[in-house]
Amino acid sequence: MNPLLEQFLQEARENLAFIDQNLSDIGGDDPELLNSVFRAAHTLKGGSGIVGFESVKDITHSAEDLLDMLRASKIEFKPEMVDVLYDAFDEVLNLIEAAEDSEDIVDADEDTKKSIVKSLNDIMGKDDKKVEWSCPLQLVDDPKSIINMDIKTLKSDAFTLHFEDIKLDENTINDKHLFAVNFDIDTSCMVFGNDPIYTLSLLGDSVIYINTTMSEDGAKNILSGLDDEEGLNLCVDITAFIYASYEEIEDSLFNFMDELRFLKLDANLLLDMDVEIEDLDILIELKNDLMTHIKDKNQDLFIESISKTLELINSTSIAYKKLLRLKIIAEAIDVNNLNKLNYFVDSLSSVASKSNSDSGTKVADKNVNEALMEMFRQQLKAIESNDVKEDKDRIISMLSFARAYDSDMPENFESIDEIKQYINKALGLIDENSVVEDEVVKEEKEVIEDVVVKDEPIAKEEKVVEAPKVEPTPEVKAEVVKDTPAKKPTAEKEVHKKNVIGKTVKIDQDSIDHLMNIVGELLVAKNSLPYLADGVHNMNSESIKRAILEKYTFINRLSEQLQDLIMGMRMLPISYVFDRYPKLVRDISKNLNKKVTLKMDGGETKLDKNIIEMMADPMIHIMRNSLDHGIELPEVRKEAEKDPVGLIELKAYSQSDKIIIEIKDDGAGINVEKVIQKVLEKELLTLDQIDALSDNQKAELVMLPGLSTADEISEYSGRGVGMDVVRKSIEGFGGTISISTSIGKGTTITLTIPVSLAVTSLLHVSLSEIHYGFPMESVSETVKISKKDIELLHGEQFIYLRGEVIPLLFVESMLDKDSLDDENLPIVVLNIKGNLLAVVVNELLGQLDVVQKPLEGVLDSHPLFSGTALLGNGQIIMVLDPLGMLGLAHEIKIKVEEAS
Amino acid sequence: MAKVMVVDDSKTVRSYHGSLLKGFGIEVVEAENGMEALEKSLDNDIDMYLVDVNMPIMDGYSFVQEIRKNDKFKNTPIIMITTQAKEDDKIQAYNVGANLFETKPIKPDYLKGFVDIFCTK
Repeated sequence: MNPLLEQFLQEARENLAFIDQNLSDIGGDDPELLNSVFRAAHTLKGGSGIVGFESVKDITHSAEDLLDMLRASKIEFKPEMVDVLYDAFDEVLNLIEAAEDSEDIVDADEDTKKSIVKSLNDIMGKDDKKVEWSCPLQLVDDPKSIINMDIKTLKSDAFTLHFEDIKLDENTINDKHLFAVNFDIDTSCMVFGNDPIYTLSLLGDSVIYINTTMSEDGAKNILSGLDDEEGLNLCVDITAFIYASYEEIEDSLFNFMDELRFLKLDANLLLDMDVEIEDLDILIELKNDLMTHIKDKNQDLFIESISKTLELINSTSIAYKKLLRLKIIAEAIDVNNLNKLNYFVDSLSSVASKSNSDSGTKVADKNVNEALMEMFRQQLKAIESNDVKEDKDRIISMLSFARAYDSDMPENFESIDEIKQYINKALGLIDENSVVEDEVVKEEKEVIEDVVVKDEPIAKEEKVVEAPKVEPTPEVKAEVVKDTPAKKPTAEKEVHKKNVIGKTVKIDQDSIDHLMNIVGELLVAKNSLPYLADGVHNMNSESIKRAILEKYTFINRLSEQLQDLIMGMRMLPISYVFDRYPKLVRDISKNLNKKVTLKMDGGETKLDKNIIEMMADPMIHIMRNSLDHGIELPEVRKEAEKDPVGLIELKAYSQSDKIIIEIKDDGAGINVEKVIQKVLEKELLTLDQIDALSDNQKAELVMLPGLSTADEISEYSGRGVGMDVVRKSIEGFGGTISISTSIGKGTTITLTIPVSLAVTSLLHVSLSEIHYGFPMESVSETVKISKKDIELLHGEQFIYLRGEVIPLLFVESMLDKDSLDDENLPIVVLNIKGNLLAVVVNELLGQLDVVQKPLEGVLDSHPLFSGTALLGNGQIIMVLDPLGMLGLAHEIKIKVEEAS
Repeated sequence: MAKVMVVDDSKTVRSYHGSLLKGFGIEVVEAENGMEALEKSLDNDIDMYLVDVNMPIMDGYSFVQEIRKNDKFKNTPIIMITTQAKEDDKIQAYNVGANLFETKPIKPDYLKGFVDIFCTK
């Protein structure tokens, strides 16, 4: 990806996250908050402009306007504004995400964009048009992209400006000049009976030349197959060269006056060829010839000289086009019309005299000319503006920079008026030069458009297909999850991995320094090993062992530090997930006509980046459920003597190596009886099985696959594929979920989540010399008991441990019974979501930190094992799934029952 | 080599203008806000400033006002750049002491022109 775009996307993420967090509070008393939100939007717009991300720029521009008006107290704050702004920034986020996926800039859906911009403008009380044209304009680089481009991007603003900048002094209005008049007219003008060509004909032979090219609009319409059966749409861009006074033109073209742009032409402009390096000799020669012909007033020779030169020079060069234009105008001038000829000749002569006077100063190229002109204009404006404090010195210091390009500049300026005079004079000179450049740009563009018209129809089809697609909105995505949970959970996860958090992690300077130190120490440790190797022959095996262990301890400490540090870097505050919820809750509760306050606590709790990404979806699901089924309608709550405004509390905190997340609502609670009834109806469990469950376990039945308690399916939840998916995904990354509920008072859902995924802590055991590991999080304790203490109850084995009865699992097929010491049976007590299970093993080998790998191929989703890991000596260790062990115990129990 | 300071809180904008300037053979000093720019100005001999208006900690107007108080920077060309070129903003820019006011992103051609005029070292 283009690094600039990449940087922008990253920055945009940060700004959007900031906006999202704070937007809901902009109506508050804190002006600094509004300011900082505005700044974030502003930065976003600036950046998008620079990388050329037009769709983002357009939306943020309007949003920024609204924020700016609020900031300046030009409009009053209304709560709806927050919603409109949220919509706008959501769309921006979609675009940013789409751009991240496609690694390129994407176009917004035109209608969505328009409706967002419109609603922003509506709320500000602005009309559409104004906003659209206040954007800085840009030229296209690739003409083929014209079809999919917004029209305003096709026009260069410099070009527009110069046509409009004409000063209507008395001289211009009354005296005849050569004007280039550009028609910026609506394509549908013909429908209303305004024919520009006919109108131009009213000016008679004052019109020297009419230059028409396919207009952007026209090209776009034709290529996009827009219906124009009667041929009434005007698909040409018209520039007429007219020799008349402004007043005369105004009289004849009054119908179009608002759509015309004027440019006063003179020979200066027509004959300037300095920029061409190619064919320079020929052009200088020609210029001299032309000057002679002008002095002799010989039109024929003038035209002939140009024709000859045209044959000699490169027909694609700018000079060629300029000359061609000059020839056309020269040919069009009627020799009998002395006025016209004189004006033309006079202005050409002025060029001749000027070109001789320049010497000894720096030659200003096109860029410098433009910059100088811009500088002079701004200084003049500052002088002329009543609001600007007079600061002569500063303006003189600016002008002195221009001295290098103009030897005629006075050494000193006595007064502001003198400065003004000078600037006006200088502008007169430079203006003419740089206008030529804009003319050239325009001409090149005309040529480009011609090409487009010829080449594009074939390419058009492809272009449409290629048009980047915008990511579906979050709502739509959520629908997908609900409808096809079984088919695409992994794909969903993939999408989210990308979407919740950016691809980069920010690391503070301290961590990097610390990392550097550790790496330094590691190098020292490494370097000590060859010394050890050299000294080995003088040592006995015992001291070698000691020396190696010493080094091991050292390296071990370093690698542990390294691991901690890197794990720390992967940690992100859970607020990355939490921050999306205020808006979610607001949106959903509004649609459901419920009133809900959301309280969040512990957003700073840190979790592994991957887990945060995987948690986002299940959490949303739980929140939706709480909103939809938990919190009651305000009327119902009033009847139950509750606060009509419901409360959802989100809490996160850490507990040893786990993070606990609680989602608590004060809603209706889960009707456990109803759940049980449904379970029985759908024959998911038998009555006996249900009776054996605790109250909380009964509530957790809602997470059984294929169960929904909602009588009606609503937009937000309740298709019976909700909670089981949540449970699956939480358990998928080693978490657990539990539910406690109380009718009429509310429900609390507790998620227990491992802090990190990358390294798993295992209890290392062996059965028949084969190594296994139990995940530490489900190991409650390890004990050794005597065989005598094993009790038998209905044919099942139990042990008593501190007054608790724990079923004992004796896996005969895996154990090496002969090596077991009857007095000291090693036993691992597992706590699997509240169910205790004792497992007999051959040997307890201690705790291990490993990188767990999932099982693949035929072993995938094996009931007993959740993965494998490598031991230090290269041996493989199988990681047992505690849930599988529970299942195994259950099977054995059933077998025993059948047997008895 | 001539030096230009780019003051902008957006990294994207800084690197865009920075890379353009480097392309013109100019040494670039970057600052994230007005305060940082003031500090860096003391150690560097700056030929021209490109200053954003909206920045945290110290905005562009305050920065220009401050730097102009120092005689050393009295005549250093300062171009303020922002995405919203409103008439009020322009007037304020002049009043605090800026020389020029441009819309962001500044056109490469203009920037080249300004560099040629102002960075004569």
